[in-house]
Amino acid sequence: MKKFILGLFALVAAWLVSRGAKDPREWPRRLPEELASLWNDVDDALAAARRAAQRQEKDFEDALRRARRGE
Amino acid sequence: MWADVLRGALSFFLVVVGVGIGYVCVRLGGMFGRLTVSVREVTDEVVPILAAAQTTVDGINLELERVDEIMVSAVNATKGAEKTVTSISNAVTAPVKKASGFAAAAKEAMATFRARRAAGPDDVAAEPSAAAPTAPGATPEAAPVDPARNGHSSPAPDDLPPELRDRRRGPSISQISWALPKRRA
Repeated sequence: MKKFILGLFALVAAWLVSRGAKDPREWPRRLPEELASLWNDVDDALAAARRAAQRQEKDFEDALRRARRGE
Repeated sequence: MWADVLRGALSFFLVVVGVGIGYVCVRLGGMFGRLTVSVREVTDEVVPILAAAQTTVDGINLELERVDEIMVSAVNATKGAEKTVTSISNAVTAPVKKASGFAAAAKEAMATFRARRAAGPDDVAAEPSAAAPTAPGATPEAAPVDPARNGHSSPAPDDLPPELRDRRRGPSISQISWALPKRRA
């Protein structure tokens, strides 16, 4: 369990450093901000995914309809 | 004298006419006799032919009824096959459509997420370090990021009206790509 927590901490630290927070004293402040940013990005990505799926399914239906009509 | 001659000529003429009429009557009698025989023979031959034709037509009608039944069966079989093909097509295309949509969604989500995350650190580095208090010894890359700006949008320019300066963020990359015209294959 201790190794797991240490590994998780290392992952979070590496992530924050990769996001530009190289000073550990910034981590308590940057972590909520980065998490909020991450969730915003995830929300946007999911919204874009939903739109892309709807568009793809509509294109698929149109292609299928054209194929059934023999075009 | 002339009257006797005329009478003799008239008598001769009448005799000739009578002989002719008799000849014609004899020929007509023979012709009617042959015609009677011919009609009788034709009647005797046509009636069995008509009976045979009636039998043939009955057989043809019977076969046509069978063909009609076969055609009805074929039409029913075709309708059944069409329904089956439609059901199979719907059963096959629904998962394929969902899989296609899922693949497009995964691709779009990954592209959007990677674009958003890739744009983040650069904009974070572009943030002025003096905009917020930083810890001593902190690097410029560690400048604070406004979470409302999602960490990677450019700072609000000063020439924007005040009501727009406080806008959280503009349209996302996915929203822009959604609005742009797509190139269709």
